[in-house]
Amino acid sequence: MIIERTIFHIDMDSFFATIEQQARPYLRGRPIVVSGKEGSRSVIVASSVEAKKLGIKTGMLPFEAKALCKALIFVEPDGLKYENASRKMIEIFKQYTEKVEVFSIDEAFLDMTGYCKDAEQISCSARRIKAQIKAELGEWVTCSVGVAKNKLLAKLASGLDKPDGLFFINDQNKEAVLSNIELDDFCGIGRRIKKHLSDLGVDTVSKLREYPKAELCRIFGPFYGEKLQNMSWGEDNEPVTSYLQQAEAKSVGRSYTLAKNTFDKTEILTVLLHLCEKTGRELRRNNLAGKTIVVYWRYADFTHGGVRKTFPGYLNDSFRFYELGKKKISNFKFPNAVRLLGIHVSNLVKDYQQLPLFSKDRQQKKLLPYLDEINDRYGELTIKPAFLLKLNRLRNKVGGFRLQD
Amino acid sequence: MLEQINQQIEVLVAFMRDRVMPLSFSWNNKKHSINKVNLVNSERIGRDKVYYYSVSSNGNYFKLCFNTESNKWLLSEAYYDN
Repeated sequence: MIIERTIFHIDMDSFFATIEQQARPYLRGRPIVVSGKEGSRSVIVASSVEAKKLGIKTGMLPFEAKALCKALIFVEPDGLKYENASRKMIEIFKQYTEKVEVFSIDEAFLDMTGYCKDAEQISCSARRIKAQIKAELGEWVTCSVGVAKNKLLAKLASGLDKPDGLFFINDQNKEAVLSNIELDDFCGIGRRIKKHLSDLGVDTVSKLREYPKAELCRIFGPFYGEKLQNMSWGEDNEPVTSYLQQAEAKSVGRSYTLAKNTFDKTEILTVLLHLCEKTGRELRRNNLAGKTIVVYWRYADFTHGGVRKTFPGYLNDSFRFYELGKKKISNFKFPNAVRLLGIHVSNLVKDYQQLPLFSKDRQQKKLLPYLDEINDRYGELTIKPAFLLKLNRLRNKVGGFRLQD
Repeated sequence: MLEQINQQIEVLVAFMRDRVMPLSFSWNNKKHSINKVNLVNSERIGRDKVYYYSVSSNGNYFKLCFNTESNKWLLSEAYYDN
């Protein structure tokens, strides 16, 4: 007997903006965006429900948003607040099922199969979760819950009744829902795929169903082609991967958008060393080491450059990462000003213990735990390479660092 | 208007069963009663644990920080009318 699954997708409404409104009541009921300052280079990270009603969207530039609403309030991101709230949210979900898949900082899938026997119990559980979120995170914080028999439809459902909604997709209303959505309402179809499909004459769910599967597989590959066809029927067999089973990190990295586009190699290398330090610290904290190092940069015109190397042994020493980038950058003439820098370490292994061959490297390896212990005790970058002294002004922001004013 | 204050202050707190609840604080020669704790979050800075309390007091907003290592309270920011 096949048991019909019950999947909840819980999506916090305008999460970052709502948390700011929760913390600071004077922002409630007003259009706010979480972003850098007005006139800065950052984009809108999140907009409040009130701002969304005025057409302000994530990814807009501050001046574009301001043009839509003169009274718009800009709030600087505070990643710490959002992380804390997200952790509390996940703790709540774990009280309802052991199968909680954290999909992003503000959304999760819950496999409630076996915990809810009928629509009434589903509704009751969803309302209890909503009430508990309000009680523990704050009265201004709301979430939208989508319920269906698989993750694809549950995610779709949570977006259909926002904010503070609860929407079921079942066999009775599935066809009606699917006939009324855009293709990019599906999680897994982005702007680029939508355009590709549209060029093939496929712009509705029903046209996607009718499109030959063999053709989809030829164009998009056997895996994604089949997935697209399944999507059109609302089918998805992906399990909810419990937080207990979630895979180890496959890569660790950091990136940073510079305050101004620059050709200045000293500034670029200083920021790179900082990023390498943060990446190395994270690897060592998790007992990881990586073989493949990518140091990359983005130019002012959004084209990219960089260097990639796979080493014979595993590394987690920040300075070795930096040396790779420095070697490339020192002898390189940037064709355009640099706006973003990043480092990415992959091909990871846990608990790597091999002793380095050369005594200089052995010394460095012995030194690292002591440096890490000092930084654990007194805070990040208490002890750091002399080259980083002037980087005291860098501070954390959502998704990276930025220069303080 | 939102102002960064960063001044050490004295705070009266209640130790509840599983949390600390700030009740009032003194700042600018005035006692401010806390009507509501809107949000609490925390971070580790090295081994120090710092708690941040976003609170309301008579329609005004304040952010208080408590460092559990030094046992010091700081008024971090304020948005107030008077």
